[in-house]
Amino acid sequence: MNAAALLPEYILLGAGGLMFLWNLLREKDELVVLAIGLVAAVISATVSIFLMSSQSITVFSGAITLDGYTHFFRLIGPGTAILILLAAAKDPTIPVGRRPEYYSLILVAATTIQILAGASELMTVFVALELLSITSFVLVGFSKESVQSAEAALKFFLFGVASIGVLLYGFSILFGIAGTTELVPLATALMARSMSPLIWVAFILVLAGFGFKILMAPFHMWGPDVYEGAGTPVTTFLAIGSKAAGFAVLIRVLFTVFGSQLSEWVVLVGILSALTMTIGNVLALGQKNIKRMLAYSSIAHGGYLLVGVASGVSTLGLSGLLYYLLGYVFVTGGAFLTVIAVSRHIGSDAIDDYAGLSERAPVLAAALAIFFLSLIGIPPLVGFFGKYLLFGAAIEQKLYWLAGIAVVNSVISVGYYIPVVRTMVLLPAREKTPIVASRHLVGAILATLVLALVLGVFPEPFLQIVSGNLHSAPK
Amino acid sequence: MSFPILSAILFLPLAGAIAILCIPREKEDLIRKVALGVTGVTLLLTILAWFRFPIGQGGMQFVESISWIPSFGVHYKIGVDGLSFPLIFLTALLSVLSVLYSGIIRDRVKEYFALFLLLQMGMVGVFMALDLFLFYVFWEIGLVPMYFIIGIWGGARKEYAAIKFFLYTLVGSMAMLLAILTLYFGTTPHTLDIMAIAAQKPFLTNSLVSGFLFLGFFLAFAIKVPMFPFHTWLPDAHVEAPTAGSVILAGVLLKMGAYGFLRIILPILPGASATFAPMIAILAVISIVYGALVSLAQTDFKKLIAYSSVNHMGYAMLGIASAMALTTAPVSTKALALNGAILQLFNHGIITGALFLLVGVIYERAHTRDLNAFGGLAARIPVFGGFLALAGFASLGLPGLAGFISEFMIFLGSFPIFSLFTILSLIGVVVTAAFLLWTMERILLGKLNPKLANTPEMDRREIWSVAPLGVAMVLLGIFPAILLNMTNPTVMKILTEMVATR
Repeated sequence: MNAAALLPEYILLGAGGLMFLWNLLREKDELVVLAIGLVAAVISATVSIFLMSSQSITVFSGAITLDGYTHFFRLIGPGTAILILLAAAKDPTIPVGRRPEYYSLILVAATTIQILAGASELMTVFVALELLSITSFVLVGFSKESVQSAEAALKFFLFGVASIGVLLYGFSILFGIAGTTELVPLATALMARSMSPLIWVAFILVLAGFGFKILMAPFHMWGPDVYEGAGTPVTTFLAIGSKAAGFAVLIRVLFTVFGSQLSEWVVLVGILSALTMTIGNVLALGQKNIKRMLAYSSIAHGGYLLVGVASGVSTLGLSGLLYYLLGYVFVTGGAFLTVIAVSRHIGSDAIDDYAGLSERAPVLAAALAIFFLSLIGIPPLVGFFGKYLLFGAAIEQKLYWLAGIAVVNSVISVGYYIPVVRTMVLLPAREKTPIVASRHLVGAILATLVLALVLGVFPEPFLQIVSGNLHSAPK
Repeated sequence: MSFPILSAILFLPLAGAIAILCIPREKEDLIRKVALGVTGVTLLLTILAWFRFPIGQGGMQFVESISWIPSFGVHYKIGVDGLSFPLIFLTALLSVLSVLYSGIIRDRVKEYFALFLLLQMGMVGVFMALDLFLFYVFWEIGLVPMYFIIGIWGGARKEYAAIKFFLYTLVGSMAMLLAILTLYFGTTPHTLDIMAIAAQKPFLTNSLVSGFLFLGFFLAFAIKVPMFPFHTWLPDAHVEAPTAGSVILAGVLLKMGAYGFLRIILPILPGASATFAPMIAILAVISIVYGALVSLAQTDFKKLIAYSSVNHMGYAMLGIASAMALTTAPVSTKALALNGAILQLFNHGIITGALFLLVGVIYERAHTRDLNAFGGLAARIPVFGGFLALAGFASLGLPGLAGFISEFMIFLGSFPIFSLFTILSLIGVVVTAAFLLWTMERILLGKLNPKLANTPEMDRREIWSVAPLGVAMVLLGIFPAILLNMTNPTVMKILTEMVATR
């Protein structure tokens, strides 16, 4: 029983290992390896759906908890894996012989999303986080020939290692206070204590450690450089997968361990949220490189998600958070896929080179425009409803100032999304040749587009699932 | 009501837009026909609904309600009453005529008509929505197509105008979003149903929160109307938009702002409305006088009409402010002002719609909008001259034509309540007459500009676009009861409910 419960994770990790071995044993079977990865993701998601139950169970003596929250991320994980694998498929910047490794690393990294979501014990969190980090470091530096890639990888590595150290220190303090590393007993030990200086230190260290992963200000500095330097499929993974994983673990740890002191740290998280979204939005204005712009926008969206963390004590807050994350993952994923499709053809990431895209690639231009509208928060798209829920949660918790700042930021974000739309639609194209994108990319883009619309217009089924699951949510 | 006529009117344009997106872009004629057909059928459905509308009843008719997002109290709930139905009819009418006129668009025809139909759905949805979330969704849906319509098919400064329009409206909308969320949490049980919230009137006693809620909605609606000093997006947007875009902007989009005041602010926040009514009246008067004076100074024909919109919407807002105000005057006085305001909204829609169409006609021929470049056109193109004169006189409020009755009713109703402001508004009437007569003189009378010696007369498409509006202007001028019979019961209902809470 215990073994079967983790079947989805075994499938993914097993597939990752198989892909790696396959590459060692039979070279140049790139497509087979890719297929293994995609199929494994699909099977894992299917198995997860079958394993969904409203009861929460723990496995490995409390190391991993399988509750509604984990079930949600067990769908995000494979979804992200599929998107990134499709983005990375036949990536021309990676030599053919090394692509199977590339795919296997992506799959393993995506698996950590669900492991981190389920991790209910500090050492499991740490190990899973390290797995995510190390695969990410390697992925960022994968194009050995590119100087940018190497620089980005080194920056990422140095920042990453420092932040993991900080996190571990925070964990050790928690262990010192409570004598256990399991989240629920930790919570019990801290319950009804107000935040003593020691607990504050632990809180801040843990927040900082996770904050690095989710690009929370002021730990966001590595973001734009690493996003720009890494190959775009890897950037996509960092923007959606790594961020989802970071939030998955942040939410569980914060709400479980420090849940009873929420009223004391709400303001701090709120301030960091406001800082993050403002920095992200303001710095995104005036960016000329679309990858860098998307990196900053990703920071800003982390800020909106943190609004949900600050207001997350209610059902509205948590479902809003998960809903927004879902929308964000697929919309940003779709946007990056579109950027990959276009940039591979025109060989540039400069926004100016997207001029007249609506003539050269009408479907791609329309898709990107719709993704951006969702990210701004225009109905009837998923991004709007997500913001509605998050801002609603903030108002419900009487964090009016935070809702106000978030709303102002949404308007500011128009300043960098719309210029791209304008460039694509209103400006004439320099060359008139049509852009033909690979079918698998277009298929993935259209799938995410449909999802963005469907989740925006019919959110109820999803909300039912989430609130049904939330009976056993981290609290 | 077995046939969901309102949903049909609402979603037919969407179906049309999707159909157009499936047609290959080369088949431009087919696209135009589909667009015309869809808007035409929508108008017919609206007329059908008009005939079935129970005149004499003030409440919501043809109500449809489906639970949409039960987890958060959101319903797909639509309905019409004497306030919203005239505006929906206006939208349907102007949409058909704009689509007909837009036969002139040659560039990216497919996207144009698809966006236009999407826009129509957004506007109609705003007028029909009885749920705040639904209202907000449709309000925003109208934003994006209009941005593209201005930005792609507009004039020289189209991009600037488009983004200015988008940002101004979005800022207002975001303020409204916060207000909506606050209302949701302020009601017990939490609901977004406009009628239910109006019945509960949350925060009635809390003037601080009421005030903030009022300001949140006010920002969104005042920007849309537009009221001074939030009007600065309008001249740019109206001037740079393509002709049909300007018609829809002036004819319908502005009405959404005024509608918001009457549908949401007045019933839900009667206390704050009364407190802020004098402020609204002052801003209305400034809009009236300032709008008229700036129009007088214009040499660009389109800009002149754009500013005249600020002026005309000011009259409507004066009437609305009078209805909101705390006063000893009887309900019948307020009813006069409010009926006048709603009638003014409709009248302004058809009059300014016609004027913008006529601007388009002359621009296509002269390739300029400079009023000093015209002259003597009444002799050269008499049909155009006739329509321009008709619309011009209607705009300045000549008795016998549409504009007079509504303005007269507003003044009659506002005078007992805001005497000084009403008197000051009359300055606007005089200045409006001045600039309209002067404009007609510059264009139609005097010496014919040699460059325009061979201007062709209005063709069939152009005539058919404007003529229905001309007929409406005369009809409503002589027999305004057509509309007033529908609006009055709703007006009385709104006002009596408001008085009951004082």
